[in-house]
Amino acid sequence: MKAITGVMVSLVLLGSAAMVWAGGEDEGSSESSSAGAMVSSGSYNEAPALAQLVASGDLPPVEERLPPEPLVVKVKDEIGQYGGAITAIKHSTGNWYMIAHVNIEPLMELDPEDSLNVVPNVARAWDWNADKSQLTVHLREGIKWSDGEPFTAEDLRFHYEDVQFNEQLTPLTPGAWMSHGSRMTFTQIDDSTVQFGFAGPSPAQLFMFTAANGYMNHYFPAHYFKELHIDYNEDADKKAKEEGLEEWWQLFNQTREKTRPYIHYPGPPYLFAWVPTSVTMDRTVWDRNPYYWKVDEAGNQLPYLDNIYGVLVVESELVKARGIAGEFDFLVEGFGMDEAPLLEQNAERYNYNVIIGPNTWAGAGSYYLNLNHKDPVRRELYRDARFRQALSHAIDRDEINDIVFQGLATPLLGFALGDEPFYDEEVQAAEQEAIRYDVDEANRLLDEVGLTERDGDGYRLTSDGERLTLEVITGTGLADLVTISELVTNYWREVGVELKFSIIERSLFSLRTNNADFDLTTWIMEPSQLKYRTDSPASGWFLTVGHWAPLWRNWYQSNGESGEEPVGVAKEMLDLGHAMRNELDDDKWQEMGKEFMMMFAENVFAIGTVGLPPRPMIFRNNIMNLYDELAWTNATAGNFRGRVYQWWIKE
Amino acid sequence: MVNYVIRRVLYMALVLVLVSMIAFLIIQLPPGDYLTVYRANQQALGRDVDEAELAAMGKLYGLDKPVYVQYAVWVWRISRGNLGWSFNLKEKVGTLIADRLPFTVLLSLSSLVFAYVIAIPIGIYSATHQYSIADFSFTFMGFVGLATPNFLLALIFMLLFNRWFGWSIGGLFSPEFVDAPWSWARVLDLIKHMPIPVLVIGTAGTGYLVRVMRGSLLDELARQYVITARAKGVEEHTLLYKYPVRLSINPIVSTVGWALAGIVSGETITAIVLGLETTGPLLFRALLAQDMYLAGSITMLLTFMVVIGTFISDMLLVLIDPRIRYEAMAG
Repeated sequence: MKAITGVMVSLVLLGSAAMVWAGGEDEGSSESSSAGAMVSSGSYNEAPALAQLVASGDLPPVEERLPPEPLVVKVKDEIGQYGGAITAIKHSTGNWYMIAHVNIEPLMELDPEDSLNVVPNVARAWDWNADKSQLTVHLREGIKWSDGEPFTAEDLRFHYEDVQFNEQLTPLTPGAWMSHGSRMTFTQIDDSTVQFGFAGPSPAQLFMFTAANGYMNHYFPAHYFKELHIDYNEDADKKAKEEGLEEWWQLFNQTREKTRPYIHYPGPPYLFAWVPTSVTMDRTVWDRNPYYWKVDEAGNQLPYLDNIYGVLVVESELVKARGIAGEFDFLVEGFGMDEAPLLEQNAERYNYNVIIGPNTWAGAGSYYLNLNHKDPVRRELYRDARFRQALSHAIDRDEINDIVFQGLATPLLGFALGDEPFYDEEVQAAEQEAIRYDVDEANRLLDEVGLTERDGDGYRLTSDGERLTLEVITGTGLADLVTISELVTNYWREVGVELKFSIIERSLFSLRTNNADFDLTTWIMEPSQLKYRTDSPASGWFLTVGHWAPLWRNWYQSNGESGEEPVGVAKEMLDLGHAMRNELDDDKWQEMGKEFMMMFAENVFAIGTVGLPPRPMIFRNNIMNLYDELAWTNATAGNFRGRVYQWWIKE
Repeated sequence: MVNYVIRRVLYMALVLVLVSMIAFLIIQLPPGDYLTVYRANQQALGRDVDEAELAAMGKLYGLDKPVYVQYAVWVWRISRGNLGWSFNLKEKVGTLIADRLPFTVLLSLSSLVFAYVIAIPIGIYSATHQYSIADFSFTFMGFVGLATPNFLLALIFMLLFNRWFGWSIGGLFSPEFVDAPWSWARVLDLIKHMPIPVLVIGTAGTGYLVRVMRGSLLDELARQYVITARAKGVEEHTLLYKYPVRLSINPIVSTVGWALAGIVSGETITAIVLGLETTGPLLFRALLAQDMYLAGSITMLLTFMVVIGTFISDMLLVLIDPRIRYEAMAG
């Protein structure tokens, strides 16, 4: 399995990285995070432009700007040189997180070379209490916001107590801050120490602090946002009125929306390597943050690059055209395999490298039967695991792989990538069995289910005498699904099942799937996040990620207030996922994960075709310190591991 | 006369109110709202949206309230000069439109002028040299211009200009000038990027205008006053430009009023293909994302343009045409 090999390589690479990234989730072991520092304090280098500002007195010297113990980054390959800029896409349909790859600073990070390893970032260290219901986080002392103001625990306190836990600003607490059915607590110990409390053992919660997107921030510049908060500024309502709004929380949240990674307006201070300085309708410019708090091993303040340009290109065909013509220095989303030959042809002319890496989708086109179907006959049929197994056996995945993905994808059932720690030979065997191409077996299972009668065209009849026609719907935007569905239509016809495929507008698709108003859908499938021990979407992952039981999903998401309570194996899996999340014993956790995977493989809740589809990415060929393709995936629950701040441009 | 103007202004206000309601309703017609679209788009990226995020957004944008309340809030804010906030672009609607309007008007006017400058002389030439080889060639080219989809032309031009001159694809500026302050170099860069859109948007109009000009001039040339003038020995050139051409331009000139709305949202598809940040694509995307206030405000702006355009042409008619003037006075 390709994915497994990838992880093996990462593990080997990790051997050396671990010397520096000694931080871990075990109690008290993370103090050594800056132990690899080879920098004698007080001798840091800075970018020439910043040195000029220091000389003219416009900026304090680098030693004062950096924390006493800056985060020492082990660069990917070699120490870089200052200068240069890169152009990326800021925002387009389907590309909003490009900039998130560039600018993201969660409390902790996932190791770029091993996504299962948590390493320090804004947090210097952390420790758990014995039953992992209390997490103490030690912040890196002396970090400064991009406006020079000190970053302290107050910025976290403000974020949690006054924003996340404020009903005006956050009417519903994000699932990320919920544990054992109640909201986590926040306590500020001192200026650089905070404590999170959970209602019970919550080891998974650590991973919540490694992701950051939109509302899932970890801190806010309190000194900036307090101006807009009624608790701190009596005139906050007046300020809102001046902006044409009615109440303070509207202005507060509109400003907050503007700090989303893909918007990034100048104004609020940031902790990022680059801060936005100008925004026009076509382009955002990010300038080097003079207060950035990371250095390389030679004591050079990061980042190396002077500027980032984020271009707004909305139309996806134009994204491709401009990408092929080399107008972006890197583009990891937006191309399909159709563009690969064109990219190869133009790579030399426009000076970029084409890297074909896997997209970490467990399913590039998975089929979901609606287990909440309103028609009892259909519902009963779809809930029969043998029926789903039969449909899975009828699919020739190797052919799909060859025709649609030039043989570069991997036949998968669509729930695991194969790099999960509990994905052992037994799970693999179960998955291989589920996806085995065997028309005879498919026919046998369908007969066994009771679908023995056929009509004149050779299609099977359901128990109420209707032809077994499955209407599959999908939303607009994913071109590969069309080709895959054409092939699947043929495969299923072979076993007497008729498939009718239609593409509907995306929001209508979303509405119909949420209301359980469909036979089956086809869509991509994210791999299980169980390996990260996160809960977003984690234990509910197998419900939320697909469209196969929308009413169960609603029940799960609303804590039982709406929808329908899951039954049977699904309920067991849901409970198992919950239990797993809070399991402290690693061996037991491993066992439970395996059990979960086995249950999925045996019950075929999603009929996957192929996963890990190849996608071309382009990088300007003078960009140095590039991490390999696995760092560029988007499947790790909002973790972006490309570490653009240690890129540099070789002249 | 004064009464007439007052009455017209009142009607205009009524039309605007009605249109605002209809526009708001039409924007609400597609299933779901901005949150549905947002969620669907996030799901397409493989990310399920937290209910909390949707709840906060819904509250912020007032989407948790009934449609008539949303409408009332919108109208009330507009009455205070606030067009609202774009959900998708997180920016004031007024700012978004104001940012794009100058370039939009510049582009539309340039294309309009381009079309007239090319079409009118060709139309005159075609009419005066009817059934000559040149006439046939112009007619042929006119039809080709009319029949070629603009977006296709746009793609071809982009490719050629990129290959021949190495110009950046799409947009109104080269990357280095996008947000540079105004300077001669930037103006030159803008001028460099204008030909493709102007050519593309202009060709379809040109083809049409050539046909109109040729047709109406041919009508005029056959009139008796032309024959009389010619018989009386008026010099051919003077005759042509003094009478038939002036008259046959009329149908073209009278449609200029209609172009007012077109100037704001014309050629949306071409602009999308060329990556031009004008108001057309802004409206298009706002509708796709169900970005209510943005879509509503642009629609209102367009309606306003049409209403004003009609008002102006009515006023001109009152001034020019005695029959209408008489009616207006009486009423």
